[in-house]
Amino acid sequence: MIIQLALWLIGVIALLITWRRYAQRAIRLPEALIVSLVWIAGMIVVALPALATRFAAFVGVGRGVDAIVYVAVAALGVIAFQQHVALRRFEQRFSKLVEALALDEWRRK
Amino acid sequence: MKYAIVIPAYNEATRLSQVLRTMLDQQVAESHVFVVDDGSDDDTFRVAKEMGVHALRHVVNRGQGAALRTGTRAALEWGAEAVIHMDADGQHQLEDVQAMIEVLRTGDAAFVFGSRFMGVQPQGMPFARRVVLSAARLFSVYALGIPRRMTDPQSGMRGFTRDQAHHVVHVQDGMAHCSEILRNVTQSDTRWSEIPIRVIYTQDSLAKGQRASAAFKIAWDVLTRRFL
Repeated sequence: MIIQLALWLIGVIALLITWRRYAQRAIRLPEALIVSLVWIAGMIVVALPALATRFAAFVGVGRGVDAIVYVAVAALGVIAFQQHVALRRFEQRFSKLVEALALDEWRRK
Repeated sequence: MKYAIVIPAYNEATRLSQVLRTMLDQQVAESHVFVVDDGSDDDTFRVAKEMGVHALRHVVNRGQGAALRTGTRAALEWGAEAVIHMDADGQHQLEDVQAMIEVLRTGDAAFVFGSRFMGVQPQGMPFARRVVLSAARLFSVYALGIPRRMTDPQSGMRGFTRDQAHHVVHVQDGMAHCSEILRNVTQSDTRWSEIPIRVIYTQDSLAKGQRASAAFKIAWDVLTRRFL
């Protein structure tokens, strides 16, 4: 019970932070909605753990928590790869900027 | 032939001044030399400016590949018909620069690579470095498809005619640019060759040079660029 209350509290705080970031225009609406769905889904599973067990049985995994972990690991892998690609692109654009500044300074010598 | 020598430099104020002094003493005109300070913390840029050569600088460190791209673009804008890349730490010799220019001038090749393993023994090269370079050569052949006849895939000295610059101006920022240029050139219909060069390693240049562990990052960068 205590852990459920704690996780629910974390979920509520996470939702508040998400929509605060949206209000600050730090993230876009689709991003806020997707993140909110993830947290709400987590809070539902915390409140109704039997749902996780039924999902696990449906997909052929032994325990509900195992199914959640597998999904989380796969999702984190996808996110990490996307972050890697985004960082690579940023590095390339940044280098173009640094190069342009260097050439501009040289031309103006 | 209007040639340009591009020298990427990172924290090389002391050695760079010696390299540039040697060049100028041997009648290389200042206008032919392009030094790119890659975000150094020392006086590299000031040294280049005071020596009267073309001095460019990156506001932050971006890697040797990025510095070579910047220097090559500047050289082409200046009107260079041939571009030579060499290091700032005094390992490379001016007579080898002249030999490369001659190859490009006569049209024997449009892209020429310097090799430390074509009969001229490198001075002061540690055994561990030879082992790593041999492994790098195997990697280049089997993972990147570099021709086996390439004897020194990791050489930092190369020269090319103006029309071959496209092999260089889109490469990666870091040390993987070396393998990338090699692959771009050897897998195109560009006429290329290798010539022997004399490389002199000193305690300073070895202390500052690439660690063997950097080879793994280079391999990763090259493979991910190729397959992703």
